[in-house]
Amino acid sequence: MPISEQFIDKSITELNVLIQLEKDVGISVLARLVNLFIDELVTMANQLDTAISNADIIKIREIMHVLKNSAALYGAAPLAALATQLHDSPPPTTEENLHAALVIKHNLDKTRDAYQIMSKSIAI
Amino acid sequence: MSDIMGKGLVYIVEDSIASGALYASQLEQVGFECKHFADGYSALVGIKEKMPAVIVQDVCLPDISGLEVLQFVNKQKNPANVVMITSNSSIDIAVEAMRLGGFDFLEKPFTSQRLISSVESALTPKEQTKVQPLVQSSDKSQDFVGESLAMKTVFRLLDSAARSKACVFITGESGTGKEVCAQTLHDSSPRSQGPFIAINCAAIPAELFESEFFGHVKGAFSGALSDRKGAVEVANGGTLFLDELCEMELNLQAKLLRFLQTGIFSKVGSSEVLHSDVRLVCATNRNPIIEVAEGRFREDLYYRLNVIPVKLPPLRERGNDILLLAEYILKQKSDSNAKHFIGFSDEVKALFCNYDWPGNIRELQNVIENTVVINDGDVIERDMLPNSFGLGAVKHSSSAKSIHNTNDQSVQLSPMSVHDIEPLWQVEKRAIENAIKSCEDNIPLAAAYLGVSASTIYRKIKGWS
Repeated sequence: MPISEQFIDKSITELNVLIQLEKDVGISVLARLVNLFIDELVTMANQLDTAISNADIIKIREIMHVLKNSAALYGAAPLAALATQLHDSPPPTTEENLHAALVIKHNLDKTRDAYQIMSKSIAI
Repeated sequence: MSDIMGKGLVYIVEDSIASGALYASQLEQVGFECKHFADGYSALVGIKEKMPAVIVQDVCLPDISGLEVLQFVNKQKNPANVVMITSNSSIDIAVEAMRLGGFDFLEKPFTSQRLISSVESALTPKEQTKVQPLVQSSDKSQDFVGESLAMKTVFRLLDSAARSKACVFITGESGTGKEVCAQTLHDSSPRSQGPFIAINCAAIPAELFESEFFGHVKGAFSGALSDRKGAVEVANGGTLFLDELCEMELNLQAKLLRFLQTGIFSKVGSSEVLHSDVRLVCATNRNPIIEVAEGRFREDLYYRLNVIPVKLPPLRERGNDILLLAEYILKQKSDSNAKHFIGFSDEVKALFCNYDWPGNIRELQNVIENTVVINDGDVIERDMLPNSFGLGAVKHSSSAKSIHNTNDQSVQLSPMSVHDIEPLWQVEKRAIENAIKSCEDNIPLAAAYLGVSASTIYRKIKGWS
């Protein structure tokens, strides 16, 4: 089923990005790609949990490097903006970095849930 | 290189599985076969096993630097062209990649159209993109001659720049041959069969610039009686040369930046999105860093354009190139004017070598052309040179005493009352008007003696009126 407004949470996803992706690659390829994106979000959520527990700022930055681009590519604009901010302009202290990473982890989970719902809808 | 799918095999080296798969899907839609590597080492193994047609890779990889992958590729037999993907924060690495032989770079976020266009441009194997000898490509680029160390450095830089699609930013004093340099670069690049379009940013009125650059549709503004293609569209597949770039207004700089980032544009009065594949070469006789610092030139655009900087030396710093160029120009002008000059007297050679040439090669050309047109004979003698020759500074006054030296005049300063101080623009206006009068209303010649471009003079005149 083609991408439409009813499948997406506008506070999390930019509809026009997904519509363009559908034009570029077709709906069946897009459905597969969205599932890959969801898998990547799950992987990154786990990695982020571990990095936050270990206060590993370098690992957090590596995760943000991947997340800022892939989230933007798949239309998850708010998540991409948060990841870009933490990657490009990290706060000065470890505590602030970890706090920002926790905020992103929360948004990452929300984004994953929203894309899972969308994925089921376009697979129908 | 050509594979089952038709267009060729593309390796995508990108640490995000979802992003790499998306790039691959976009390229597969238009007939490429793609293979995705999520880290640098596995890409090296893949490249060693089979060289693809094109490699698209992120500059930041989890294990090794994207630059190391690029260098590895370039050491192989029949290396593929490499398109680098960069984010704004890693633009410095991308610039370095272009210097190391990268073909193009895509700044995130980019459209699928931009990705496809870049990969299609990169399809030409490197063996076919070898540059032609720099002084043998076309009539115009033959003017780009020189044997001095400074020029050899420029030639080397152009040799490597010609292979890639990276933007080239040429700087140098007025008259040093920036447009000839751009034409030479175009002629020796794989785009030589495409158009070379030159735009002088100072010569186009601001209100017409967008239309000149991107084109317009009928009715877009009063006077737009029919659809018109702009320079960006006409230059598709070739090179767009923007001379006197620092004269471009800030709002147009923003539009140029957008085009550079996306490769797409719209004509004035139209919302249709068009695409053009051009290589941009820019030039200025100003110092772009000062222009950026003083807010007249966008910093982000400067970094986007200044991927391969080429600084052309002034003629006075080119040693024996002065005589080499003089003889080359003399032959050209003699042939075109049906004269029989074969060389210069020793006195003229000494004068030429000791003169500062503030108008650079343009001034040298004008002096020789003026002399050839007016005189006859085999050898150019001192008394054949135009009276106006030497209005600029000489390097060694003892060897050219007859030459009028304006710098000497400026040294003879005497105190004056503050009421006698003239506004600088009036001093400049008088100097320009005098120069034009001395050159019998020949503005390009006056510009050469003043050491500025003719368009600068035209702009000043327009400003006074």
